[in-house]
Amino acid sequence: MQAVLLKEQTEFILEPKVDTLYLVLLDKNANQGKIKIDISFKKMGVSCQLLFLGRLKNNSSWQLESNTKHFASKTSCLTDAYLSQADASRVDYFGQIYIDRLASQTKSFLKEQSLVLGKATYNRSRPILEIFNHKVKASHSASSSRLSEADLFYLMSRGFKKAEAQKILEEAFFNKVLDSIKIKSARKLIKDYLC
Amino acid sequence: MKQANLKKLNDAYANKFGFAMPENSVLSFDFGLSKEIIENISSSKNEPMWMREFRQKSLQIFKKMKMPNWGPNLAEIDFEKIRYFIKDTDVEKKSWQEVPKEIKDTFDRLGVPQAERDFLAGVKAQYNSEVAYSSLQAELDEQGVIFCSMEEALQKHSDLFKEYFSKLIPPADNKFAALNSTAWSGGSFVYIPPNTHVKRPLQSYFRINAVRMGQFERTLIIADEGSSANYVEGCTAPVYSEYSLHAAVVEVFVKKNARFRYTTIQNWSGNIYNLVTKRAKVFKDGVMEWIDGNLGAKTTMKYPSCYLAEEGAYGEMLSIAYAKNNQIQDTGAKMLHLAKNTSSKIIAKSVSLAGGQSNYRGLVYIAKNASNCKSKVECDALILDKNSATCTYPDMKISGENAIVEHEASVSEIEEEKLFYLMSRGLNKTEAMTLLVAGFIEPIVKELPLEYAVELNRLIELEMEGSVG
Amino acid sequence: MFKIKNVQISLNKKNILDKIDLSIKKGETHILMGQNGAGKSTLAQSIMGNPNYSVKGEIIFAKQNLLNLNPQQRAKLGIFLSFQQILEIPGVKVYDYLKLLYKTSHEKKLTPLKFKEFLKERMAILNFNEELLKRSLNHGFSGGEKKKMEVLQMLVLEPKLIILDEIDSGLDIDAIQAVANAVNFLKQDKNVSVLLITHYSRILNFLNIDRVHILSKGQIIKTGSANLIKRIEEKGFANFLKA
Repeated sequence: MQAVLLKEQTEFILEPKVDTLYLVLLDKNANQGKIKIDISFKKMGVSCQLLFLGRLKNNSSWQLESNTKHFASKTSCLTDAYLSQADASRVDYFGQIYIDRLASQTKSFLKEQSLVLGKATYNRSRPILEIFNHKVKASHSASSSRLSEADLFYLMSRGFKKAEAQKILEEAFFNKVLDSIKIKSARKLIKDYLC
Repeated sequence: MKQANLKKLNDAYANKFGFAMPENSVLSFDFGLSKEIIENISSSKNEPMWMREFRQKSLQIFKKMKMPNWGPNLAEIDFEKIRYFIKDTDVEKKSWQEVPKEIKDTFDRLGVPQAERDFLAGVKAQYNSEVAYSSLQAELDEQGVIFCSMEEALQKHSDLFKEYFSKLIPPADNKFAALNSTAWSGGSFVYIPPNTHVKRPLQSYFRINAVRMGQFERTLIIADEGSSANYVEGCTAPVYSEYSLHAAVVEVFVKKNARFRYTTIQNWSGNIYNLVTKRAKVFKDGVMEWIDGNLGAKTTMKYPSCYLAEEGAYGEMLSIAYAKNNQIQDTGAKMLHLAKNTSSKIIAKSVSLAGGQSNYRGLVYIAKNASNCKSKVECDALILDKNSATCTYPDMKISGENAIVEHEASVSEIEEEKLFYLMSRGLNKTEAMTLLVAGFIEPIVKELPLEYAVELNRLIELEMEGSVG
Repeated sequence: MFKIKNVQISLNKKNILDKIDLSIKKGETHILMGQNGAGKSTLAQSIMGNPNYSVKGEIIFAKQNLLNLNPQQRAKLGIFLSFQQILEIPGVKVYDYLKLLYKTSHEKKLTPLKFKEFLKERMAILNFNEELLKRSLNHGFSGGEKKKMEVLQMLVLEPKLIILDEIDSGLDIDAIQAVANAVNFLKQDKNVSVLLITHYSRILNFLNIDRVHILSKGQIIKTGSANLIKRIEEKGFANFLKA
């Protein structure tokens, strides 16, 4: 699988012909942003991954959109969005999975996880499934929660200050992503982003 | 062969019982909506002035409002071709002889008693259930529970009625709520006094001697503080209706510490547009449970919702949607967390087969001041063949602090391994698929009153026989 | 009565079993042993008609070539396979499921009361936990409970040929005894024929064995009497295969 970093533009229209990992790293310093990604699977057997990573803070406001459309058979796509929201940051994520009548034996999954760190955040999530073929496996999940009180307590009881404990847990949240990425170049990009 | 039978069932309703209006009917009624017709409706019911004015105002609102710009195609609905004012004496009665064989066979399979069959098949315009329910009525009277038709409530319990009517769903809520507000007729009024617990389910379908299948039924339920009750409406047997549009409105008020469960099973014949607005307002520590089974109709749009208005309120929605033969079940739920420490749960299961499409549309909203709220949504869809489809459109808007929101949806077909396992035990393909579909919807079926659960399982069995290759 | 003739089985064009010949007379108990990956489950699944495998050759039972029949038809002929990997089917209540199985496999109907008695008798043989009747089929069952559930289905179906795929693995000695009791019950009651696929030999202490077949790398390399088992026990599989 090859890795491609999507940057500079706000809109991407992709038609992958080989297995690809698409990486989107939301600019930590931007006050607002908008990204739209369209992936159309027209070639049989192609397998891709789309990963959104974002550490948002202050009043930054982001609009994310991913449209994964399967027109060919035996294609698969794994879309993940891992976002941490501090302060009063805002995210609006629209994620569509469309599987055409003719796209049989398709697998498409979307997972959005938001880690809420701030007190005045806003999170809007619309993960959509439009499935017109029955020989498929498709699912999506979206979850939004704070750091676990139990985990914080555990770390603090081991001597970490609250802020340090939070940082550790936030890293743990993102490390889950790293574990699933095997491509070296992509791992490096992600590690750099998280620092 | 069996597949042909099932298609015939719907055609049988449409063609044999059709929409034929007697050409030279003495009481020939105007089609379409007008001030005069609304006036006629109101005066025929001897309504007080405030209701008359309410209807007229709603008519204006209806005329101004646009059709929804989302969801299934409703272009076929022609408001001008609908009769809005019909007296029960004008409803044509059929004879049992005229009822098509397929319909009689279905009733046989489902074990529906003869008296009910007459009612369902359009042979009787009203169902007289006094005998069956007189003991229930006595119990209710003793407890001070009010369970009567809306018309009766407007006359006999006008203060209570006026206090709550249309407070949760105003006419301007959506075009079909406006339509219902202007032309409403029939429906149940329920009032449960404080700390009163009604043990037996309140069965609306056969209790209210209203004209069968009122197209604009309006239901108003108030469960006062600390009370609890179950309300059940509908039935699994296929129900014929002359009217092609059903736009019902249901308002439920669950007061402090009260618990209310509203169960609906609908299996309208395949010519009907079933567009319903259902909403509950839940007060402090109150519990509201919607249980919804959508099996019939040509197109259903229904999104029962809970306004969790005060601390500790809980809202739950369990739904089954079954879509086949070009039906569209577009259903879901809305949970609005407007206060802190509220929680909600939505479990929606759907089965699409033989060209049906089942959609989930849901909203979870957590307001800014609603801290420490929890919500869990689970949607599972089963597509059984290549002509069917399913779509999921959830929306989660979270502002409140410390919110824990989870949403999961999955789409799958029946797994080959499970089919092989069951077939290797001697079940044929249809039996195996029926068992697996029954197992899929079981978590919701087990919440239904027993008679419904039994009938529902038998119905699924019958449907699968007709549709599985 | 049951004959596998020159059978070759492959999965996704990969050859797994070759030149398999095996005959079981009515009422006989045959054992199939082999190391992991030898192809034992593949054979068992293919006899039952798992659509994932391609089978060449003939498998005859009750004078019919099974390869022309789908799994349900094979079950109707009286073949039962206890699965090694047991699926969970949530939402399907065990009691209702067993009733359905009985109904589809027996001409004569039983009243609900008579069926309860029938079931109780068989549950007793297996020492089967009555609580499980209310639960969803295999859902959340322990490994041992799942295996007993397979055997209970066998007792309800009353088949003519039983294929047990590693029914004893993961069971404690009491459970193994219970399973053996069930097999012996059917032998006595219906003179059932048995093909038992096993790794360990503890269950063999409770059964009367007629023939033993050893499967290695996709072929049956040795067939003999019950004595073979003793020799394997003494030498261990690896050494036995080398000899």
